[in-house]
Amino acid sequence: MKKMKFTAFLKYQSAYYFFRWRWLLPIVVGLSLGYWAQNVVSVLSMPVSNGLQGNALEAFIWAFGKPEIVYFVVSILYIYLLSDLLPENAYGQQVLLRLRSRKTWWLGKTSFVFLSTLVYAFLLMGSFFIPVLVKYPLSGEWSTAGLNNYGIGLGYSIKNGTPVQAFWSILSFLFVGWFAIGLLIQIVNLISQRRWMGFIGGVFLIVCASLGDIAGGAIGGNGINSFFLLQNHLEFTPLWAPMRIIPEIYSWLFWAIWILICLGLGFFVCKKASFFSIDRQED
Amino acid sequence: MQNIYKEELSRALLNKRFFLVFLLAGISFIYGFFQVKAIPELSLGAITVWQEILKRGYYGFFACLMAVLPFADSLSVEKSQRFINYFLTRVKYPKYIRAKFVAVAVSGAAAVVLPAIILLIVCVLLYPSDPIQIPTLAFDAAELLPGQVISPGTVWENVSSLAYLALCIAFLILFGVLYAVLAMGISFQTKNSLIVFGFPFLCYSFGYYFIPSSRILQNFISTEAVLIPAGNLVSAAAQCLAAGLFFGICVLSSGKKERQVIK
Repeated sequence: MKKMKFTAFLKYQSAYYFFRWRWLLPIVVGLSLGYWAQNVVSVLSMPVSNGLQGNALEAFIWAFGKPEIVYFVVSILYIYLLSDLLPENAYGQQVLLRLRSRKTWWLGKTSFVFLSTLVYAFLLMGSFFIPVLVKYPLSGEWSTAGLNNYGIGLGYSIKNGTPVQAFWSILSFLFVGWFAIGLLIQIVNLISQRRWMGFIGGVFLIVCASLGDIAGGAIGGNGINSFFLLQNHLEFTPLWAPMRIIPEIYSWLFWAIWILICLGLGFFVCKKASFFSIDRQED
Repeated sequence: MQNIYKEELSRALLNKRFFLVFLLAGISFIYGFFQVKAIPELSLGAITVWQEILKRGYYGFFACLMAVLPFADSLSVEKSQRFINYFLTRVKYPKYIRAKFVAVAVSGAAAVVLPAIILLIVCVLLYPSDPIQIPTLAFDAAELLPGQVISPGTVWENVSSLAYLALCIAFLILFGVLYAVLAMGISFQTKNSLIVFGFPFLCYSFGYYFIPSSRILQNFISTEAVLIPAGNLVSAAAQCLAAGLFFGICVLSSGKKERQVIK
């Protein structure tokens, strides 16, 4: 039997997982959030007669900087979509045989999680901008409404550069965070051999991230604890705090370590896993 | 098969997944406890502390998972593993579905209410019984319309602490039943456990943000209104009605025996 190529594996994964009804959800959610955000910006930037206008990037910063949206809507949806990549069904097990390497298989899965995160972010944010761009232009400068104290209230982002910089900061933290959480979900699924376990693990992580330090206290935590709180790393500014609690470099370091641990652990677990003992078919 | 109800109930209630249920509840309570402890000059009664722990520990997020964990995916699992066929040779399909519904509803209610009652007992042992802060309670459908506020005429006055406690427990039961039934409804449509577990959680989570943020829906309070009684209780009733309607549509559209058995 001819060995399956890595790219063919990714193609098969994409064809199998992306063409499902549930992958339309990010579009629906993105459109709703976009409509919502442009309404909020228009209400907050009143009166128009004073020359106060919004900017599409400000609507993005408002929506994806809002903790309720980040935790209870977009991250939860991401977890829902990514939780059933593992364990493989009967056909997936045959594909593993064709690949002839567990290492390549895990690398393929990791690449597919990355690809899924990319597709998810593209669908969600692409559809978000459709209703927003109908009303507001894309601009690299802060609008008068954004800069106004009683306007959109973008806080920390305004003090730290242009809307474009804030857009990339928010997007990159969310993207890396989702990818890292996606990897962890795959490992939980691989170990437990149950798809719902990864979902529960991911959801648990997100809910706890929004709750913060178990001992309570300030948003973003205090002292050394703040370096381990997910809310300081997944978001540009944690929860409703108008500032970063820890420098950005530590967040990158946090996610890099997380991803490396997940990659290593994944290699170790997939070498030991008994794929053919799985008799569940849940498609 | 005479004892299908007994069989399904024992499978639902004597279930290893209840360990996970209690673990999730414990984490929520620990979080909630520390959040309540952080309130300066705390002088609250046991029932108020209990409700605050549930609220501040985001118990609703955990509870909508806990409600579906024990048994809500059993129909989808039995379909995917063809276990349903063995049942249907011995019992009529409508009876099987009725038994399944009862077992799912009871297990959902038990998963949500049992940990909360244990917490209540702990609170009663640790905190004084008074003072109890009872939130404004009303029941008026007209006040759910956009732009309306609860008028003094419809507010329930002099609600006794015992009646409020009974209402809180009834709401916990209702919450468990609602989300378990929602999950069972979706399991008519799919054999994938993840969808069965994920759908109710998505409903709760999206509703938790979208309902209070919406100008039209904000009088429905939030999805937490079914868990903790406060404000206009019609909101909870409306959410239960919506879940019931969803279940009804799922049964009517895909609940036929042939659709469940034939792949």
